[in-house]
Amino acid sequence: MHAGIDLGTTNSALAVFDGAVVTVVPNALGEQLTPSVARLDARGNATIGRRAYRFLETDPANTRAEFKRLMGTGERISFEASGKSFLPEELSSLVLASLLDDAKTALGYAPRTAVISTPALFELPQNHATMQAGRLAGLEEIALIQEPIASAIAAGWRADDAEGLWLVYDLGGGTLDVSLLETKDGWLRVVDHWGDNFLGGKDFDNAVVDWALDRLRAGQDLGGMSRDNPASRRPLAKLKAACEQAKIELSRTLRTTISCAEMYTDAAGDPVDVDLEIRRSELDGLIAPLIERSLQVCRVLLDKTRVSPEAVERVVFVGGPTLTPAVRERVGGLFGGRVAEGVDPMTLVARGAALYAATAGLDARPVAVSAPAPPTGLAVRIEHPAVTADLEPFVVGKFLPAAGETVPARVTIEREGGGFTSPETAVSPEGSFALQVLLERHRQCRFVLKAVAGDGSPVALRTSSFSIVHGVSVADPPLSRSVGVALSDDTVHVYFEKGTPLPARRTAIHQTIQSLRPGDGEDVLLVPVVQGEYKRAHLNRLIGSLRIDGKGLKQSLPAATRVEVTLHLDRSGQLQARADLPSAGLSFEDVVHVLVPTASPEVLEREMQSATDRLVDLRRRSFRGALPAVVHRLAGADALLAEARAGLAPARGGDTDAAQRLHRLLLDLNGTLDAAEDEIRWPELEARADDRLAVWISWVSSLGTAGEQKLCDQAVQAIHNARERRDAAELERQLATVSALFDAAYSRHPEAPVWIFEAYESHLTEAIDVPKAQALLDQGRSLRRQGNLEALRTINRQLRALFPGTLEERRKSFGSGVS
Amino acid sequence: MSAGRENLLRRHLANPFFVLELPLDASREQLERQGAKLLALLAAQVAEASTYPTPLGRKERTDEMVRAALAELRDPDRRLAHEWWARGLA
Amino acid sequence: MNPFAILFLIRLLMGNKAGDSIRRRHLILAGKQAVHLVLAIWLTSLGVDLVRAAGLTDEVVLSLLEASWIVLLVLLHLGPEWLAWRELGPRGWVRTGRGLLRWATAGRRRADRTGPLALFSTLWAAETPDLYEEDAGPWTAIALVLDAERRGEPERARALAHWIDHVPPGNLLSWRLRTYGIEVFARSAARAGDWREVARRVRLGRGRGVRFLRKVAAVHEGKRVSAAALWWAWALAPGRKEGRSWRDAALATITPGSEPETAREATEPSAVPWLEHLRLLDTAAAGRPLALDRVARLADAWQEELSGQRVAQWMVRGLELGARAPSEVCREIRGQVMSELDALVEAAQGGWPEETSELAAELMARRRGLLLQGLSRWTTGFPSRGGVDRPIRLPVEEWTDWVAFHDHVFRVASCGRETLQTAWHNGLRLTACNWPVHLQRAHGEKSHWAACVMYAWAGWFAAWAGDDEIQRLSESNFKIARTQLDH
Repeated sequence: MHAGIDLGTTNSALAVFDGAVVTVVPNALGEQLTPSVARLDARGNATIGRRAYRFLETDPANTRAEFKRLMGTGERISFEASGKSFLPEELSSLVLASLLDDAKTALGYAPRTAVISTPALFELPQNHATMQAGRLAGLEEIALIQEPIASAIAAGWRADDAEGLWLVYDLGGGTLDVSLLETKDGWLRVVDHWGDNFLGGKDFDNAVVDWALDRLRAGQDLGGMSRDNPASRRPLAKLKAACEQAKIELSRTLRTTISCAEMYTDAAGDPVDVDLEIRRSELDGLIAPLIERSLQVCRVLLDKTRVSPEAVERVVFVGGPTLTPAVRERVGGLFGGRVAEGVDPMTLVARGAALYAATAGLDARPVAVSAPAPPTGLAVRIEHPAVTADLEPFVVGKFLPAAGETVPARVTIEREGGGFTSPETAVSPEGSFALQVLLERHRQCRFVLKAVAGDGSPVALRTSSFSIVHGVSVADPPLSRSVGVALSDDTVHVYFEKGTPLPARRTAIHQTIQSLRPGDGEDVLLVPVVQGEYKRAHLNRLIGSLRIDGKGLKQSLPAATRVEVTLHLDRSGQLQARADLPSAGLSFEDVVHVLVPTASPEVLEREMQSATDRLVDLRRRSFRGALPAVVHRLAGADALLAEARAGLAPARGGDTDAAQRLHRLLLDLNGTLDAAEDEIRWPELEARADDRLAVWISWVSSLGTAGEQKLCDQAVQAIHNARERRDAAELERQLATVSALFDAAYSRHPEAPVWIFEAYESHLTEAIDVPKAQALLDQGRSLRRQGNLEALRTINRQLRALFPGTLEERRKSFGSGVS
Repeated sequence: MSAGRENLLRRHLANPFFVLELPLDASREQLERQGAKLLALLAAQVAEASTYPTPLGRKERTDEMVRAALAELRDPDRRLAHEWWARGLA
Repeated sequence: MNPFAILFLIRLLMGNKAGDSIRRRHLILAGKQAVHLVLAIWLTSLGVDLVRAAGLTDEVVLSLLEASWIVLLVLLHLGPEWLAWRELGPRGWVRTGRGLLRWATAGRRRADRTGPLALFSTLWAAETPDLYEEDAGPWTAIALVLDAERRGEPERARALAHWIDHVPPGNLLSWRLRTYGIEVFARSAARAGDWREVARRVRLGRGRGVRFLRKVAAVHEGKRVSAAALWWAWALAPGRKEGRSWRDAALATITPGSEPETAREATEPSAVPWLEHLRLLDTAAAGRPLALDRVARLADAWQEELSGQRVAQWMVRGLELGARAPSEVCREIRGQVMSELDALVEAAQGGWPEETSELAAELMARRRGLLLQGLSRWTTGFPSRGGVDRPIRLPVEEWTDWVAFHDHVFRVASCGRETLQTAWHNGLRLTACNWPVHLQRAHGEKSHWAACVMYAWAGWFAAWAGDDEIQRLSESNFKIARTQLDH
């Protein structure tokens, strides 16, 4: 018996697979879906599911939903009446416990193992929190599966025409996961996936709420009611519930009413009822931009994998919000209407998780039942796939004789029910054997292993039977985003590419960049582990850091010491890291877990301001350089910035979800700006060469020494070559060379000290230390009047130290101490 | 830095065709079967499965390496790259 | 003659560490000589008394004995050091050896005082000392290399030994260093069988031990050395037991009639580029020496495989497999080959052949670009407005960083004068010139020796780059630092 759980943002479900049939376990109210809502009363008693859901609108201070979006953030969720606060994973564990309880009622025992689903784009801290929730709920063994894979397994389990490429469009309450899968010869694998961690049914609801508020405001004074006002929480919760209800109804009818009794009290203190009519066409208009965003996600995925919409065989819809007709129409329309029918989008993930549990060999039954211990017989270890698409898989075994026992000479495998017996195969001297068996299509087959001794007499075996299911085989769950170590030069050494199957382990060699003194941990070298696709380390997400400190050292560790770093990701994406220093004989396994960072709104605002400044600067430069491609790219940055600005208000209002999203947006925005900057570089360098080079050359030829002139000629030739090869770095270097020669020649001009001095005068405000610069300028002015140019030169040298040169942004790459 | 060179060398020696001991023209079926067989042998701790031959001698083989090799060869683009490198060394 | 007074005086002179003025040093030296003199005379008179008591009354013998105090004086002056390096250290009598060395080095200039103790301990103490506490002096520079070898990091050791090729003139290495220090330095390489490295290390050495190693290294390099000269050098050299096997191996090479063997590479270059590529990566990864021209030949071999025709054949295979973007895969493969060749070029030593393929020429251009870019690791610390943009660390740390910098600049220079000049004007001149200044400012007497080497080198490179201003500045700084070194 295998159990799988869909732990959703809005609803959760549990399904079981007994080897033949998948069933969704109903809860105490007889429903297949249990809302992911938790309520805590004044005494601290918890209510989960539908009963708690009813209190969402009437008692929002003590009822919480959608905590899945906050998993891994370390953000505590408080409940007013009882005064307690919980981590999101603790609330999730309550939901899981409730599901396991329902399973106990149905099966007679609570499953001790289960597969829990997570969104494909969940990052390691979020996966870690999910595992934690499972453990708190009482599960002994947990495996995680990505939701699109679960959906694909469930949808493709029995379908014989399942070959080809297909798209899973999973729009849940809080996240959108779009995955492209391929089934070939019965093997299912994920080609690639993309998504939006912050787009879901909730946003549909918010759009309707905003619309409703606007309509209400037009008619009456709502006071300070708005989404970023914490005091409006209760009336807005009521409104939201009503909007949600209306949205669901509009899937079936063309018009309905958003009715909310006693939603809020007006200025006079009287309760106000709200009744707003809304048509399906209006709803479609409201959610159209959101659907368009989701289509964009699909297009990005297809672009990345170079697959055209026509090549996709079918689309599978997963998640409640996909029941909205507008979604099905528009998304299905992109793929020519090839939508997989007969799949229940609400329970698909749970079913797939249960099927996957079989592949992973997770038996949910209590230990006593599943493993009786017969006392006699030769021990043998049999390894075979639990589920496979191969009709003739290998079965491998190894005998484990106790003292006095001998290894059999030959083995054979028979299928129960007849139809197949393997040829007799000799056992190796080591006691191992490998045999192929034959399965029956789409069925579970039981096999029996038989062993004979050298003289032909049968040998009794402790365990001899096993079963294999023929069905869709799933490739190991792939890693959603590349994982690697950030190096000191702000690059990433990738350990696991995106799509690497889990579990995975890799070791690579690095070198320290600085020496490490022995002592009490003042000197620390960090080995930061990051997740993401950006080449520049600081743009990726930091998921943990190994700290190498001097505590165990007897003497200093020199720079350039060899460090062997091993990263190990288990099947659920849990990360373990170890750094070995062979020359010192030390090992470090101290991983500092970094939760999903919660940037404060002030920090986010500052980041947004600097991003805006950068965008303005880049736009100016791109116009000056007449670069349409860059302008176009910056338009994309504009859109991101606009979205970021829109998210700032709710973030300030205490919506941590919005703050997370804003943080992510700003990272993506910086990535776009970096790319734009790279594109601008070449044309700007060329423009600089065209502009200034002639002037520089003329100065060097009139005032430069013979050696300098020769050098200048060489550099000019090199500039010409660099331009032909489009070598930006070389062009920059040679321009710097000529510029330096120009500086030298310029300063030889008799009047140069005065000109230079005047330049400093006009840029006084840019000095690092303005009063000091002012004092020097005063001295300089009197020297200028006297005509004492030599002394003025000295003043200039002193002034130079007070004015910064070109500002080089040295991003510290999370403080990485290795290369 | 020799650190980088060692990393490059390791990557080459862990070419999926070496790890799985497959010919360059192996079919999808052969790939999956061989992979499953090796995983089973490793799980049963059979000694001969714990190393594999490379042009620079036998190297250690783990089940994570086998899984990674399978994933690499299932993707046709990645397989093309690995075939190219293994070609001259087979 | 009170032996306790002598011992007390000895203790007093040895315990004097603080306050290094040249007058004080001369005072200490004088004190030491006085102690030696007293001891010599005392021992002589003791000896004469003993001889007389034994009944020998020959006047000639007695007067010879009485005059032997001069010989004893010389022995006492040179003896402790010789004893420590030649006998006590190799036998493991570390504490006694250190004690004798401390006596021997009392009164010397700072660069030659604490350094020998650090080197001695690095070689023979059970626990190597923390070299980061030491001054940046020549003995420490050697100790760092040997310490890296002791830790089992030969490549880092080789990188740290780079400075030995470019020691400027001006008595920066005392004769004791060149005798004892260079000898242990070279012996370490000899034990590892790296005779090319030995030849490099003995260049500035002197003394019988060094001479013997030089001859053996010459034999291995293919130079003409007579067997008799080799025997004679071995007989005179210290550590004959250890040297026996080296002598025999060298003699075997120069038996009459046999051609001197040039160092042969472990494996012949392979015809197939893949295998050769893997072998060279293996050589480079293991830290073994790699010839640059072998990498060039590999690049030539790759040229054929990466040609348009072969790529087209491979794209066909890609289509057979059902790849979505075979052309991009082929492009990535080429990029991967190039970047791995870059890594091999970086690890290799030697000259680049004249006639090369297009690919090899591209490789050279990339190398040049990468080397120039790599300089920024050091030049960003010394900005154009003057001053220093990073904290100045301990003297030994700065020294090891500078050695790496020095090595890098030499590689840049190996790309040609023009390349060096480009680098020079892109921040290198200020770094080379200002680094030792800031080092001295931060650490004073602990860094004078290192600063001397750095100034000398900066001046030399300035001359090569044609920069008179920096050359003059560095030369005058060198003179100043040199004087400070002797105080």
